[in-house]
Amino acid sequence: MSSQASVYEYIVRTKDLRKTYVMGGTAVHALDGVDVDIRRGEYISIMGPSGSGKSTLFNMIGGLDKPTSGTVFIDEVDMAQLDAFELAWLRCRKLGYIFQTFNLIPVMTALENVTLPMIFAGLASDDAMDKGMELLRIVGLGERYDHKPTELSGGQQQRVAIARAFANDPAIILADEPTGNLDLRTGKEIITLLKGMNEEKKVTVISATHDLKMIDVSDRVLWIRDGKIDRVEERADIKLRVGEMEGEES
Amino acid sequence: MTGMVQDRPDKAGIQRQIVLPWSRTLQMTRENIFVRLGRSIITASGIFLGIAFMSAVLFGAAATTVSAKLATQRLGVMAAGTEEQARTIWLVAMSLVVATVGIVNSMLMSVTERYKEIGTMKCLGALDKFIVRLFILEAMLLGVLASFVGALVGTGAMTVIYWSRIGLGPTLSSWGQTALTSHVHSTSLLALILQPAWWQTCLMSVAFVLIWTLAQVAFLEVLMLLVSGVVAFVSVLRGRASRISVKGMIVPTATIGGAVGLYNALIMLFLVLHRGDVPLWAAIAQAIVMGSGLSVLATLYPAWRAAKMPPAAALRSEF
Repeated sequence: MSSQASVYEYIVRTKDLRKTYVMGGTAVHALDGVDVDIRRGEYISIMGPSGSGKSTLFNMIGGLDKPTSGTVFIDEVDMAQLDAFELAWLRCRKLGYIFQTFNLIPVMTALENVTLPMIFAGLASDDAMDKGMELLRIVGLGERYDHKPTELSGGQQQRVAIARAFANDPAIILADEPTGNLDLRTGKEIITLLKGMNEEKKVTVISATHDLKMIDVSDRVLWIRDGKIDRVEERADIKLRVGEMEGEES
Repeated sequence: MTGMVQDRPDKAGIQRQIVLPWSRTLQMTRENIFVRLGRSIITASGIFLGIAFMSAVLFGAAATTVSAKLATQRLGVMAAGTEEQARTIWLVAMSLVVATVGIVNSMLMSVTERYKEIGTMKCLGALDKFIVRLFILEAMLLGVLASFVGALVGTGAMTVIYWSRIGLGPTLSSWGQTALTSHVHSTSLLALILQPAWWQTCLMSVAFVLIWTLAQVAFLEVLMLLVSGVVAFVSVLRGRASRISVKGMIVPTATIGGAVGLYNALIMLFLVLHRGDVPLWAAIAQAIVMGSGLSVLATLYPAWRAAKMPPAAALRSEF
């Protein structure tokens, strides 16, 4: 089991993933057999209308919820086989999350929010502070390190969330509607930031979104509809259709 | 780039690798209390009132016993003992129930309000026990503070009231005495433990504490089995599987039973060895343990349940 032997091609793989909710007697199939392969270092966008299952797929891949059936493999390790401790380790060290509602801890300052995952990882307080300040500088919030989330704008909060997601040098960044609560310009800045980190640090980014601005920076787009993957588009294919996209948007 | 998931450390290694130092836990708890000051004050008030009432009742009963004794001496009339005791026990129990209900309600709200925060922390890699620790520490801090103030206010208020009735001297001497002590006096426990030789006393004390604690554990286990049985029966009637796992509850029940039994046994031992004359510090310490113990117990289940929630559900919370 050495990491020298083989670097697996797919960092995230799902096999026949299904999630069914029982709501008032009827079964709602949020995910209806989803097979997804995501390579290392890719920037993937999962797109689809509301209720299509993209958030559910996001939750499954991120280990935030358990599927009804099917498997999710991270580094070819079946997530269902991991116990609570191993899941926590995974979330601490390998995964970074970014949410639509930012989800910063309101009683902590920006720096404390960013360094919290580092504390969990056992980093010494000083090292954590240094690393945290560095991350905040990268996202452009060096001077606001001691501001609480209530003192920051939406875009700034999302930047702090991004800095926090990168706290422990994760291999995968999971973003659920990162630009959902942001205006056009701020949204673009955030997307640029994410793409920059993806290219620089070779981190895999998986984003569930219905923001069409994401398409430009994605290596692949997975279109999901009614719990099934509708189609998968490579960036090359999308570029050719950019004209159409713009039309649709307006 | 980070290593493979397969290279993750084994369970013990992970336990060491994910940490939340106690200093940090304390700091976070303090900030949580101060940022939600209103809620904290409401929770603390619940404990304070319950404990203050309990202290006042216990002191009042003791003072009444003293004043009754004085009245007896003056008028040569026998005062009723057991009625006083029964009433006192009932009042003490009620005050504790009232305090508990208040605390449970308040801590339940406190936990529910922070579902999103809990979900977020789990996403950052927090272990379940970190979450539980934060809430337990918060409950304990509030409990200790509120109980201490409550005990002081309760006994203080009653001292002033009885001052006028029976004068300062008897009031001061009755500070420590509780009406429950006469109950201890009258049992053969006193004779059993207070043997002539000191080593006999030690032996009997240890035996008493062990037997009482084990009896308490056994009692609680039987109670837990009965309740589980009833819940399982009701579930079957409703056509659903019972979600209670008896095996998982054996150890927690034993721990709680052991703690409560040990505490009660030590209190009784203390009373017997002091021949019912309880100093003020002991009475206040007992109130503090009672208040913070209730606080912690009331928080345990909501916090544990919140920590076990899958993060997706916790993050969906509206708060």
